[in-house]
Amino acid sequence: MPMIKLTVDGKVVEVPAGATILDAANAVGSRVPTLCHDNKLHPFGACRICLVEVQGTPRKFTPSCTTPAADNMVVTTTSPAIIDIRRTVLELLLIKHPLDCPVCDKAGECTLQDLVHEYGLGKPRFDAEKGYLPPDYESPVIERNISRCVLCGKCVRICDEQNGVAEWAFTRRGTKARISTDFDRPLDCEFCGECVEICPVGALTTRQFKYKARSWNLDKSPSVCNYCGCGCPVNYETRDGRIMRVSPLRENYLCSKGRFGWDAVHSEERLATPKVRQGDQLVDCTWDEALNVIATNLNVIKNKRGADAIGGLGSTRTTNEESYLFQKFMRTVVGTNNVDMLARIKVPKGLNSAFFSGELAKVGEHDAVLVLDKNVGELNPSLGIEIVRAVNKFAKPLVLVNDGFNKFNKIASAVIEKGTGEGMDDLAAALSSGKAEGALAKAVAILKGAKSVALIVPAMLSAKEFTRVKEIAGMLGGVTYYPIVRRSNFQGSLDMGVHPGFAPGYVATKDAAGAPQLAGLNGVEMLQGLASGKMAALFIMGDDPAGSDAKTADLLRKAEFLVVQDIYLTETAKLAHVVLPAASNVEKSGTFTNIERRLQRLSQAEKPFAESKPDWEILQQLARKMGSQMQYATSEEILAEIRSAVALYKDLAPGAVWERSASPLAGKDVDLSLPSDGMLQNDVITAERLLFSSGTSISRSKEMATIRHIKSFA
Amino acid sequence: MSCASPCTTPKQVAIPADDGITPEMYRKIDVIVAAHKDKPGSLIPVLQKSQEVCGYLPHSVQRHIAKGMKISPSVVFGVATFYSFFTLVPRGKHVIRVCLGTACYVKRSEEIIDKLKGELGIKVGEITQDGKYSLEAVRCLGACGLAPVVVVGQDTYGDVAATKVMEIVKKYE
Repeated sequence: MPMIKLTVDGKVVEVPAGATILDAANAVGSRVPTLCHDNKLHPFGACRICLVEVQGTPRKFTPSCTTPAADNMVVTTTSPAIIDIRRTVLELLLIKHPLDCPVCDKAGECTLQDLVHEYGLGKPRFDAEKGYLPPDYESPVIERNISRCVLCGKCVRICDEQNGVAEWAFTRRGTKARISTDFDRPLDCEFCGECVEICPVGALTTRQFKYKARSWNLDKSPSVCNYCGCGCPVNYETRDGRIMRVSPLRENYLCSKGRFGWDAVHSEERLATPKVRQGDQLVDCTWDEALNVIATNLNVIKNKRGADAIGGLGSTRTTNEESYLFQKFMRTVVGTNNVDMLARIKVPKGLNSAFFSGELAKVGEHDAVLVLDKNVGELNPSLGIEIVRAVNKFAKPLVLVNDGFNKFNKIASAVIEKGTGEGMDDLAAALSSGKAEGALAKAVAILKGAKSVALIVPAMLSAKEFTRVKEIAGMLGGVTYYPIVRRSNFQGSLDMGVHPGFAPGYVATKDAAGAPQLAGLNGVEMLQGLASGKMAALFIMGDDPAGSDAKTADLLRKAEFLVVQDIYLTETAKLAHVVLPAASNVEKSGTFTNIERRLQRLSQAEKPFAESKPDWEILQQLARKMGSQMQYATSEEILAEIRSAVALYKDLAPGAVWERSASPLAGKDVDLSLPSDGMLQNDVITAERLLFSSGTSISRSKEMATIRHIKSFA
Repeated sequence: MSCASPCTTPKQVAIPADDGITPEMYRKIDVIVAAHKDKPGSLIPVLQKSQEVCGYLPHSVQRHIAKGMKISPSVVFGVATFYSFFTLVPRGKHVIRVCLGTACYVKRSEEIIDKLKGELGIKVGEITQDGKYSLEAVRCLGACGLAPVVVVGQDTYGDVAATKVMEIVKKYE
């Protein structure tokens, strides 16, 4: 790459061609203030706070964020004249600003406030009316204070460039200019809150955080969002041990569920104490009583019917440590391989380790993007953002299969206007014969011309449809798969051996030391076993099959003994003989592994609610009641054991990804999906749009409830 | 402090129930959109031609154009409100434009506006009840030598006195 050499503040610096003066200034460590600039966005040059002096130019001052650096440029970033002009810019910005910092939620993290503080403005020379406009309370989740707006356009640009939605626009002109929607209607968008996050002033704020805390009083607990497989890094910001809001950990995108849906953990429906069944009723009891009842019943069933009459259904919401302990409990304490998770139904049939996802941030590095599921932006919002970024930032062509119309249609180079199944059939036929017309021909030309393709694989596919995906992939060069995975720690739980056939690290149970020899039943077989009498007891941790399929409720009623460990009294928990209250994801530490196979840490932000305990502690106490010597003081100790037992995790640092090729299953066609046999095929949809629905937890979020009525894009 | 402030939204642009846009007009807009939709930067000509068809650009028309052009309705609204040429409310049969540019202003064009407001009984940006006239204040028309300037329809009048302006307007039936 050609380099450019210039002098900034007396220091010679080399930057790649295309870099701006601002980039060069940052490279030498000269701080240039910015307001409208953000690295995620194209340069804009609206606020003029980044003015610098460039020797020999006709203009006195040059905006550094939009001016490309040139060879032999001599730049000064700070001088009395520059400070003076920046002060004037600030003074002008403040003419209409209400200066209501004492009641502004942005105070303390407001760029405008910081700059005014830094440049120390005196008495303003301008005395214009403030032009106060009342705040806009009509939109759910987000509040708009137009009077505070400095018209930097960051919200307008992030919503367009990054999200592909363009809900905000500059409207009107001159002194009447304001950020708004068409005819100033309330927002009807994805409600991701990215505009609030990027707003440098208090013009856009969230209702959730309103008057909750001052930003400087917040403690931060880095963690991972658990609403879908993307596993976006988040910061739970707490005051006095209670979460006030969620922000992204590394300037990453967060969707509406990730940013606003966390309040589900404060739901009144949280389970406070253990409960045991007395006749038709579930009554509160102590931990000791509950665990004794479970230990006694499981031991009786084990002695009478054998360990294989007991089964365990694990979760994708629990940490790696808990999933590991769950299968360890089932395999070594109970003594059965009947351990599985029903989330395996929700992945394409025939999914094997070759189809594990590529890295999300690398979608845009491919020559083309092929989206076979129009709902990708709703099911895995972060993946959706990467697709938009591939088009808007990296100028890569997008081929879309969509029988409807959504934001991807606006940016796609070719749209095959068919449903997923038919669209794939047409595309496969056109790719193999080379005969096609219109959009299909364009799609073929794009895909054939690409040396690498990011292929977005639909969330649920039949075996036949999945074969079609493989067929299409076979005709393309350099395919990276991005399967849509809705469940958060699906990958991690799979890695930890929550699978009847595999001990942790994909070691076949027959080869695993300590695992029982008899093959285990899968989740569907376990449920069916309750009806046939093969199974007597089920231990369900963090899953709610009865909530999504009434048929499974009928099966669960047949269980001799049912234990449910969850954070809410779910439909499944209501059928249980013993219910154990678990701590939520914000109340415990541990690790998650997202769809990229990236290991990420959760750190505890709040104390466990009421009497609830982290799942691993519950499992350990129960194991000890049943005679095990298991004794872990922290989840760290479990992770240490995982590292010694699972080769993939041995040296895996938090934030790192384990390579597909390192998997013991690499190159072997082992189907990791679970045939549903007609069960649990549909998800509970709690909102008209999938984006605002995620079943058990999101349906209990008050904040998400305020946007649930919003219909699809007009 | 904010709690003491009125719980109202910033004034929204009113959306009438019946905006008088016929299916025939939508068909014409579809033709305009189809001719332009693949050319970048063609929103302004589309709005211009659509306004010729409908007389103005109501919410329904802007949404229709946004969908056809595959852009956000907010962006359409942004462009439509930026240029004074576009109007979001119906215009009268004859549009009266009074220049409030610097030259006309010092030649007392505001008095002309006040006179018209009084005589026609409407405010700037409104339309008379019979639909005959609408009144607009514009920035410089580029005819400062003729200040103060009034334009009715396509005709330009220079050196207009507030006392005589109704004589001009009455010529348009």
